[in-house]
Amino acid sequence: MNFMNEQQVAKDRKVVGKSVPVLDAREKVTGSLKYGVDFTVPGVVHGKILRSTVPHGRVKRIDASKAESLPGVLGIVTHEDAPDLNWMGVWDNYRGKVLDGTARFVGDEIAAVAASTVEIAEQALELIEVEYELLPAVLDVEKALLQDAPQVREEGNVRDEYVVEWGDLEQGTAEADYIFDIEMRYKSQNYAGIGRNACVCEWDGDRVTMWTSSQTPSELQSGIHEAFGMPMSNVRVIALPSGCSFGLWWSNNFMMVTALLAKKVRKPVKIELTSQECMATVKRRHMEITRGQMGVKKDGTLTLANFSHLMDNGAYGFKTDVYFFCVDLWGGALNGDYRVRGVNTNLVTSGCMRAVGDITMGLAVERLADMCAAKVDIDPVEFRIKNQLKSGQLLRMQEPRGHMKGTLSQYLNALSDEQKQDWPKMFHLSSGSTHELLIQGADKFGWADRWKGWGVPASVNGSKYRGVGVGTGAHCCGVEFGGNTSSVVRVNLDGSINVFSACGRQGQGSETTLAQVAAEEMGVSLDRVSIVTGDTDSVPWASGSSASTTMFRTGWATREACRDAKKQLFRIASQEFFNGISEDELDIAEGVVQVRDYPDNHPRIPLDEMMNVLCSDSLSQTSVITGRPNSVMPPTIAFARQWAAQFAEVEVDIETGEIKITDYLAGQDSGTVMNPNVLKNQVIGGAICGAGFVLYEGIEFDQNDGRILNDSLLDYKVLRSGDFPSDVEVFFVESEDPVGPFGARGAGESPAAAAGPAICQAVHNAIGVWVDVPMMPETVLKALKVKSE
Amino acid sequence: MTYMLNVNGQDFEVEIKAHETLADVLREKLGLIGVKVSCGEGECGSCTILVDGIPCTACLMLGRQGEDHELTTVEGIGDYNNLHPIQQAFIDEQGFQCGFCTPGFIMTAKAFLDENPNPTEEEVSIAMSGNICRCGAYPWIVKSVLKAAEMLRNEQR
Amino acid sequence: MTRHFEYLRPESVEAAIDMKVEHGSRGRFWAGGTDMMLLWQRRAVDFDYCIDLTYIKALRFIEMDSSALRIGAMATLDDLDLRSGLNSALTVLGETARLMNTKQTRTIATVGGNLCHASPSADLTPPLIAMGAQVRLRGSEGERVIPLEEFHTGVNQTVLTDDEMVTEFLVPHVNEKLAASYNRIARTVVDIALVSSAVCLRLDDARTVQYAGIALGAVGPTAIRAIDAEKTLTGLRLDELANGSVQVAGEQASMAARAISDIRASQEFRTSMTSVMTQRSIGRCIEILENF
Repeated sequence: MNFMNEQQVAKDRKVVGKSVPVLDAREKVTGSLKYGVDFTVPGVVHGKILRSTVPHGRVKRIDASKAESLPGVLGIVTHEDAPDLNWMGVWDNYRGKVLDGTARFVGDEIAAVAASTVEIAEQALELIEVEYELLPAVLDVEKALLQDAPQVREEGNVRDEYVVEWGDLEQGTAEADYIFDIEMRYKSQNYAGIGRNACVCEWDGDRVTMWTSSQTPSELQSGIHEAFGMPMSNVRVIALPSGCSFGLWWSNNFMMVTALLAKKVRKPVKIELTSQECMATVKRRHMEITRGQMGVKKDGTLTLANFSHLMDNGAYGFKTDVYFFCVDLWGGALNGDYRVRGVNTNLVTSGCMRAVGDITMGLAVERLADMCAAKVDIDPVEFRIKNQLKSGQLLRMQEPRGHMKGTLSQYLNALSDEQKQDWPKMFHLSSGSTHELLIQGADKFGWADRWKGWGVPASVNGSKYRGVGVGTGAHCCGVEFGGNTSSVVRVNLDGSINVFSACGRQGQGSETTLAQVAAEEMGVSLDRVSIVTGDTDSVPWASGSSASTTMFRTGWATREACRDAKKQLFRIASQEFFNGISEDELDIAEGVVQVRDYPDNHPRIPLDEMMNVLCSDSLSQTSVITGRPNSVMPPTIAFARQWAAQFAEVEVDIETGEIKITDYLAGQDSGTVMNPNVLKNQVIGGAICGAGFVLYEGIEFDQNDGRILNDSLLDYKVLRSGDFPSDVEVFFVESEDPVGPFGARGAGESPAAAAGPAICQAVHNAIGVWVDVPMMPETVLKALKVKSE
Repeated sequence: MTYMLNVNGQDFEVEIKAHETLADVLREKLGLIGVKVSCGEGECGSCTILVDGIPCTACLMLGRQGEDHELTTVEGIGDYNNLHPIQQAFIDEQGFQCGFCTPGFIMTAKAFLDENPNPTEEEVSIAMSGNICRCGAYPWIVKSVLKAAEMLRNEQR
Repeated sequence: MTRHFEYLRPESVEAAIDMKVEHGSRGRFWAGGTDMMLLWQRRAVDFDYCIDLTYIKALRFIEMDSSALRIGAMATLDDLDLRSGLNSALTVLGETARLMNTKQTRTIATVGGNLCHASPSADLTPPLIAMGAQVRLRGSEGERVIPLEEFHTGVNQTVLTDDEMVTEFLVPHVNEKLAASYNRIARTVVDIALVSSAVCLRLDDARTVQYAGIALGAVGPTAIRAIDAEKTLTGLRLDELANGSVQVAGEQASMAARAISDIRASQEFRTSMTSVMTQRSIGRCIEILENF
């Protein structure tokens, strides 16, 4: 299969590249779309979770008798009811048992009650008596690294270090004319997702059905199978659309608790999380520390990039790394060493949040690079063009963590040449880069006129200083070692298409863009395509909407499934309608099967007519066509990246430290743009997430027990409409991907990574100092004070 | 005990417990899931409804405080087959991503445009700041409201 | 016991007070609910009878009475916003109301409820105090009118006795040469104040500062009047104010602040910003008065 030849010329495309309204637009604007919190089943009873009040403790005694005898209470589960099995969340975001009688953070799940009403369940919680044997707690990630630290979990606190290295650090140091050091400490960002979540679970014999908002239906199914030690054939997950998620609603332990409770009371149970529970007991971005060093020559060449990064996994996170693609972004550095380590603490679990690793470590890398650029007095746009990876160059991040088949190299070496033919060159960036984004972006932004030099404001008006900045970001487009993706396409008797592709529906428009892929490949109009995404009874196992997987990998699988369906169709069509014409010469356009070249000289058979033949063909075993991929997608981590470059103007009030974003331009290279309206929204959505990270957001933990102090939107500040410019511009550089469906790549996360650096640099240029993040007014004034001293 | 609530132009006898919020009463007793509850503390605006045409935070109101008023939820301004121009505008400009905050924004926009039929972009941005869109669709929400304003002005002619 | 309360709906002040007397501490007044709902849900209050004041139509007004502005306790924050522009007092109160939370909470939050909740960072308190506002209280023993600056006694604490309620606020002299301004520091566009300062200057016919009111917010358990700063400005002619007295008043205001550090801001920041906010408020007042 030749990937390159099958890319259609852009102007021929009917659906790909069009800003079609998302398929659930009407449901969204009429308020009829059902999210987890809206979902219910007949006969449902209500669950509430009893949560730990201590950061680390073993349940010595738990007495639920008073609660059990409360009228309306149907049942209670504790660790004594839970299987002694660990289950793994997506991307190692969770490893633990459903309930195990040990509290590992304030808010940890200890028990759960089911009752006829929510109020009775809440009242019952108060009647459960728990006695803890208090254990020493560790709340600081650097303390948790130490040998004698309290161990949060049986596997110990410290995970293996993950290393990416190339060249020779000593040489890099020696060749540098200047060397800069940095230590950046980031607060933990809260998903703070609007929409909360609920889980509804019902057992029918040994079969369980779960409805909940989730971006990862397949992995949730796997998680339930692990947590309960039951066959996957008995597990059905129906993943509902979620509110804003950013990686929060994948497979979460409260869902397992719901299943456990439903199993005990043998009635459908709904556990609906309050806003405070969503913000304080589920998951958060890792709190991270980056220490780094960069060396630069007078001509602007980066000789050295040496970074060490520590992240706290909280209580149940189990990550070894964050997959930091800033390594590749700044891949022009001649010698490099990046290492990352995950460590557990007695704080609420942390895991992947949008642009994991790139929004944090990437910020330190960008800042240190800016310091180098400033020292050698090179414009930040030029500096990036000089030192950032270009298409065709060797990727620095080559080996993701090993999986069942060993390292990526081992996996590739074991494949036959035939399997790998037509693949892009492994370990090289196949397409795209920041190069064009920076050139075009600088032009559109008027960079040359607006940038006055490092630390020089673009304008001053009383106490208001304006400055401009540029930032870049990168991320992967899915990583297969979390699981592969697949897709199934069914051609119905009337020629309409059903697509079955597991993905999340958290606003990124995948249910629409995957349908667009299918419509384009099948040659039918979009209204003839209907898609199922969340039901594990129908969708084949696929790595869910995490790690910017869906467009690239599930999109690829969807296109391949369509090709397979067409092959089957054309085999029949060739025989029944197109005497002497081979299958390879057939095509479908506008729902009509025809000969690709010179269609007017041959029959043209509408798809439904063709499908009717199948129905009446006594030699055919099925009445429908079902297509699925039957070739292998090359390992995307070995060649595909997404790129973002963003330009910001800020205004800083030097008397108060308040920052306002006054202008914004975002450029994105994610290959072919499947749906421009959808993607523009994603790009700015990501930028706003990144802006929040560097301006106002940050979890405050109690010093004594690690409880989250700002677990509400009153003091966890997220951006509002008035906090971000309305007339933003988004532009695309569509470096067609050789593998992605119609040339499309992933896009969800690099925009979030590029925003922080752009805004931070703009602030630096406005006021002449680098400010710690989040750049609250007080922090800005502190930085200014240090500068003046 | 039941009480009378006038919702989306119709009177309903509804069972209301004193401490129930108006948002929960509308959602659970009348099935109006377009009244979305997220933060539950008056910060996010997802639960915005109109009370005599005025935008109000339903999760902070008592159910009983809905009495003697004309209540409007998103279900009352348009439906699947018959969209209100504001709803159509949000679709045309894609003023949403996950959609959870969308009904709240639409109700806020309805009240705003009733008072300000010809707003500037800046005025719209400020007016929409009472609602949170965590997905970050703000620029397109503003465009949607401006488009809606134009559509409504054209309707008037 | 599942938590619940009974709902009572008085339609007059007398009826409300009778209900409060009847139920004592097991009865609570409930206005817009923007504070009470959260206190109830978080189990910070416990009571059996909710006395809903929002149906007392007689308490929802904003009107002039000779030279005093009268704001009924049940006027909403949105009412203040909509009446902004009628005079300088309503202008500053309207501008201040627009800074508070969101439009859709302002339409239900009441001025009375907000001031009775007595949050140290409440935005309305400083401008009202700076303008010399008074508050009328009524209870079973009768009525009394006290200066607003004496109304708050601590964090979430007022002088209200068990059966008293606020019926209205009075702002004097609003038809005279009065200017007021409120400035604050916040994080996002919807936020509570991290630190704030309100200034009110009133000129006599000779364009001399006859009255200066400076009230600081979020730098003490209650709003603080910066008396020394007020004295610095009082008696000066409008055109004399620019000669350094603004900076002096700002510094004096900082000295009067008794800020604490919390997760929102540090004591140092709040204290030093008190001066900046005060100077900006004075500056704005001067601007307004120059146009009189």
